[in-house]
Amino acid sequence: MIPRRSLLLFFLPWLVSFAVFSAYPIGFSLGLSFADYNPFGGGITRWVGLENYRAIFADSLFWRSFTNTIVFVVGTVLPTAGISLILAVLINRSGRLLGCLRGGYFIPSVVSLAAVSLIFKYIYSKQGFLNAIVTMMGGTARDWLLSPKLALPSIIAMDIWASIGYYAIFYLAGLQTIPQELYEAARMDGAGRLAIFRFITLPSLKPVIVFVVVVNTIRAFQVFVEVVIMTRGGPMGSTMTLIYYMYEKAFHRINMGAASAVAVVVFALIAGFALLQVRLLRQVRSAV
Amino acid sequence: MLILLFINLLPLGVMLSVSLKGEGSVLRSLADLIPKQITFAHYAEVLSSGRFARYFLNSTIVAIAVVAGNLIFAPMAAYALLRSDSKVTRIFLVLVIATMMVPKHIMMIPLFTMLYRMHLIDTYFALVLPFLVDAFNVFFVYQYLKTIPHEIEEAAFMDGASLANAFFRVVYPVLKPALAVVATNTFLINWNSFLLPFVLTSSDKVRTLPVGLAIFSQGEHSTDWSLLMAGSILAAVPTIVIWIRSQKIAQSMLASR
Repeated sequence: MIPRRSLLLFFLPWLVSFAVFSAYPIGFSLGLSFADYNPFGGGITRWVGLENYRAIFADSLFWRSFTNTIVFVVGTVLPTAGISLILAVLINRSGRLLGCLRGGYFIPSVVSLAAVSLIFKYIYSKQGFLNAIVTMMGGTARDWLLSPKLALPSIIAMDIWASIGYYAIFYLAGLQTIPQELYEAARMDGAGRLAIFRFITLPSLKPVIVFVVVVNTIRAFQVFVEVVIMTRGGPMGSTMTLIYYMYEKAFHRINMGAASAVAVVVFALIAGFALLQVRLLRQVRSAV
Repeated sequence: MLILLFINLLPLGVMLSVSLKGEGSVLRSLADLIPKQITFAHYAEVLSSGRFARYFLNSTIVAIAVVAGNLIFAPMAAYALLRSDSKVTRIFLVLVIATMMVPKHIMMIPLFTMLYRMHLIDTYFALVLPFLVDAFNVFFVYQYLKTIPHEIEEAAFMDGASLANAFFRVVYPVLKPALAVVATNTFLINWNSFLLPFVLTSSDKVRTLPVGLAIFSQGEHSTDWSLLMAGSILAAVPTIVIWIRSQKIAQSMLASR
């Protein structure tokens, strides 16, 4: 009754877009990682096997970026998951203010990360906001983003700030699906607040926790804007991340093959981590 | 909780304060955050430099085009997916879900080289074409369509309407709540997107606001904080306004995600 052929026609725009802008690029990336490629003439000049991978694995800057990225991912994903959970529980108890609080905490996550990065570049600068607080409390002012020790933690702190409101929304949605009777029964049995959180809230939110951790991990592995705007990988490579390393390889050194190898490695890392987390958190669930 | 919220919004307050302060951006103490003299000169300077007005225009053009594309094509694909219930479309549905999860970074080099060969780098096409049908939107409308009874367009087909006619006249209006979510979500993501627009543009002619901000902050203005904060505010205001206006819809979207 519905004309089949026209249905296919309806599907065509997505199919074309998928083929040209998703499927083909993924395949192309994989292929490119085994080739020498010059986009500005000649195209693929030579197949080099695993040479691109060997080259990046032999580069100490790659490993620097690798370590920094892992530090960033762990440093932002775990605190964000915890803080936004606590935030959600607190907001959920706030009664009439709930809508207003939820909205307010969410605002930072609709501001573009480029603007957020600029704000924090200023906050972290020598005569910026953070130093005004630090000196007021008797500390010494410093250049947060120019110190190899402090630059990466500073970016991590900013990222946590920018994401907690966003992830709190997911927890809030999860909290509202927990039946009130569970809480009432627990209270009748004389359970304290902590016990209720530990034995009712936490287990009920497990699927949301998995979701928040996995989604945030996938995002955190691709950290890029912050680095471009705040540090350009410096000082002394201390904020070099994998995607920034890939960007430099591709567009500063015009080594598309090696850059594609990095892209594939990051892709594999993301897929691996996501699967691992789903597994891990499932086990925790059955243990609780 | 309200005090915590205040602290949480403080960085945005710092941005606003610095962009309005007439006496410069140096903070010696927290009291300096309250502007002694309020001025809109930084905003005027940012807008009159031409560059920012251009970024703003570019962001607007690109966002409108991408939102429009998604509003038309995503419901079409979702409808076709749902109504032609066969094995092939099952596979398509899996593909839709799979593309939702693909990290964007893997597109950077292939998109650049492909658009370069098509001579589309640094044009609006580079910023619009790849983003016209987002898999998430297809999936979202698909989920929404499932809740709508099949019968509504049946009558139209009986009367001999074509598929396009039946879809856009009868089904499309019913999708309004889902379409509002698609529009909001797509606008926010597109307006703020950085990685791909950063790589796919090379001149101020088409650069969008986030990319423009990044470039601007690296040139001669790199420590002109009053100017940079005014620019950041200009980039942030449309998303904050749109989000606040559509807060309810956005939340139902997030909850169903």
